[in-house]
Amino acid sequence: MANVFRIAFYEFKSFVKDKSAIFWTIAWPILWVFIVAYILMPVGGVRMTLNVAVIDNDKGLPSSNASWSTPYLNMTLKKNFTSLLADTFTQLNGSNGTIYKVRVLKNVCDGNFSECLNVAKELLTNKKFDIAIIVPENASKSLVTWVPVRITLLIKGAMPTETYMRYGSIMSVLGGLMTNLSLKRADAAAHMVTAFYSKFPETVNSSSTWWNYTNTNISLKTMEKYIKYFFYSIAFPLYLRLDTVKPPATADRAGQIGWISVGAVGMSLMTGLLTAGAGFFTYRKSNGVLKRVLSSPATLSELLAEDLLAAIAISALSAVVILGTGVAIGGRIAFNVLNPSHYIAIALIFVAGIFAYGLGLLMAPTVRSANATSAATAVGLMLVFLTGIWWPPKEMLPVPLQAFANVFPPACAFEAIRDILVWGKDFTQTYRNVLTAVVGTFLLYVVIGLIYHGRAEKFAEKLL
Amino acid sequence: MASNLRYAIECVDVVKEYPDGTQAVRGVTLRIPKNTLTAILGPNGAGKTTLLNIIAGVTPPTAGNVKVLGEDPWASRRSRALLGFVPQEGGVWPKLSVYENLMIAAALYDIPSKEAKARARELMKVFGLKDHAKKAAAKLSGGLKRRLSLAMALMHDPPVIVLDEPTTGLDPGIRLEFLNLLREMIKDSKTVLMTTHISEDAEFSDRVIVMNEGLIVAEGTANELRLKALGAASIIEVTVMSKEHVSKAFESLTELAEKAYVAKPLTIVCHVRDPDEVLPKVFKALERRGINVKEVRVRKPSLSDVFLALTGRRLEEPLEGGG
Repeated sequence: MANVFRIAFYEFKSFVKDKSAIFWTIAWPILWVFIVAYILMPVGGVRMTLNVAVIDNDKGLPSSNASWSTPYLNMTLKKNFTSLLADTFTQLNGSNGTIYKVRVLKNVCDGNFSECLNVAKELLTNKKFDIAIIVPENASKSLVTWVPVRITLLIKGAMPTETYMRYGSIMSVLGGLMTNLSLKRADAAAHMVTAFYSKFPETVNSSSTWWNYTNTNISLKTMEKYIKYFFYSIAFPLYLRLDTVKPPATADRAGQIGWISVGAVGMSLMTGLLTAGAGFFTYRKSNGVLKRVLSSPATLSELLAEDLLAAIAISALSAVVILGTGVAIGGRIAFNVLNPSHYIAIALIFVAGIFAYGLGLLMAPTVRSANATSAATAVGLMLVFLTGIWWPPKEMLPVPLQAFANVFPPACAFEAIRDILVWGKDFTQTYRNVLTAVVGTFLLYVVIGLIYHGRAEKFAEKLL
Repeated sequence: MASNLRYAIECVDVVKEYPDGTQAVRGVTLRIPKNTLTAILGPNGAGKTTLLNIIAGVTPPTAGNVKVLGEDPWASRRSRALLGFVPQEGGVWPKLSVYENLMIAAALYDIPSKEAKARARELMKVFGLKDHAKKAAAKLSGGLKRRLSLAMALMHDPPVIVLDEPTTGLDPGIRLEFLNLLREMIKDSKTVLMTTHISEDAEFSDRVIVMNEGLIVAEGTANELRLKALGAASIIEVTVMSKEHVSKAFESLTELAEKAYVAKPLTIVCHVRDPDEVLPKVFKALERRGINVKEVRVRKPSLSDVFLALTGRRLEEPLEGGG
């Protein structure tokens, strides 16, 4: 019988000596612990940051003679509506675990409501904003004329839970503003009543009506109506129109399928080609092909070029099959032979594939066995999940990951591909992503060139 | 130029040292005559594969020169076309078919497609692979895979073929068939160099180079090596009944043989020039000393015996380190 314990000892020793096995089995899981602990669950609990865009069309407080009550309200409000709104955000910042980053945007839609609505949707869909508030032209005027200020609130959320969380958060702000406005209107009302009272004769003649001292043209019925609105306006200083905006990925079924199909191409390339790159030496080593190649006049650079071409071919095949399937099941993936932007989108698939392969090449010198290449698959999967290439969409990722996705070339490539092929944009609307993808891939290959130049044969020899 | 050369392969003072200081090849000088089948014989870890990798252009030497038909494979990659290499692992793309493997081998040597197709068909016919042309290499039997590997090395019709342990893992019948294929190639004006740790396979070659611990221990034909290492044409093996008789038997046999040694706990090996003359004397001596004998065998010495005599090690024992 074999000495099981001695064999086990040497097996363990051999494992400990294998640096790549140590990395993938110990360091890698630890890295994930850090990722989860410090990025997905930041220290001090989860703090939600909401980026709020205030589309400000407000023309400000009217002059004091706008109405007989204007001076009283101007006296208590002191500021226009948008300033009061911004103050409320500042006061509440951090109090409920939320940081509001408020940006007031003026002159973006000329006060035209439907145009403002489009701008707000664009801000939520394609910019970093989570909430948009449209403040109308007459917001401050409404304040001093005792009518509710009619604001429009748009909330972005892919999932109902996310929308509700943001809704709850913004309502705490608007609730605070409402209370503030109610109190200020109540103060103004108190000043008015005091002023009115001071004008009253010390003894009121029963034959004379009290309104004769104020405005004789107002009928009792009208006055009753005024008083009712007056109290209502104290109770309800704001009137909200609420709308939700979903990120593109969840907008409509055809778009969803298109979005997912492009993501599936990303998943395929980021796992398959990254693994192929990482196994450049190892796959050939295990069956003696690497030796055969090295003994031939072909150089490793030629072999790399050949492999890269194969990678591009694999990208093409993968894209055609996956996108074709997406279209077949109702996905919106448009390709118009006359649209140059669409060719850019197709080229970006190859760019992403070449990047994934290059990332694998960086790992290749350390991948010493065919089994170790599965680690490359794990890296690829991690990247597609954490950069919005695959679900969840980038908009739903934590802010640090969104920042990473914004500069990670394949993520930019797939965002641009979706923009062009699924959402019908043209190159000029997504050029930043296109440039990031292309320049990033170029830089990666510069790094690969620096690492491999004069060392490729040595890497190969070490793995033989 | 190449046709005027006497040697197909020349290595002078070749050294291979790894970064950890291990010397797999320690100053090897060898010359392989053209149109011969030469075997490098040695146990696993003797440095055979490393030496072959250096000759084939797979691993660079740390020091020394290598020439294949007068050209240094490390100076010009084009000169590597003079040689066809069959790695121990096969060097076949497992997912590709037999035909595709031959075509990819041709591509490595930049053979035009039309020429490559014709050559592939020809080699498939010669090596009995025609019926398996569309079969994936991974699905071939060991013997067929080895044939495919050799055919791939011949795609560019090189004058020199080097094979690393080509018969390892093959059944005896298929091994013999494969070795005969190699012999056939000599008739086709090829020079074949192979490594092996199987002494019977080395017997098939014109010349044998014995390698141990990164050095060449001896070289020549199998018979030259027998005489050189053993000084004998035959071996008499005497196995005694008990341990107590081993030393007495050894003393008696030493006087009669050219060389005697204890190979196994109860077996004494004697190298003799003329077994017919020595054998009766052996029996007499053993009887006179009262030694109980279990078995006496007379056989022709194998190259394993040669290796044992030259190095004091058995060919089957792998060495630590080396390659």
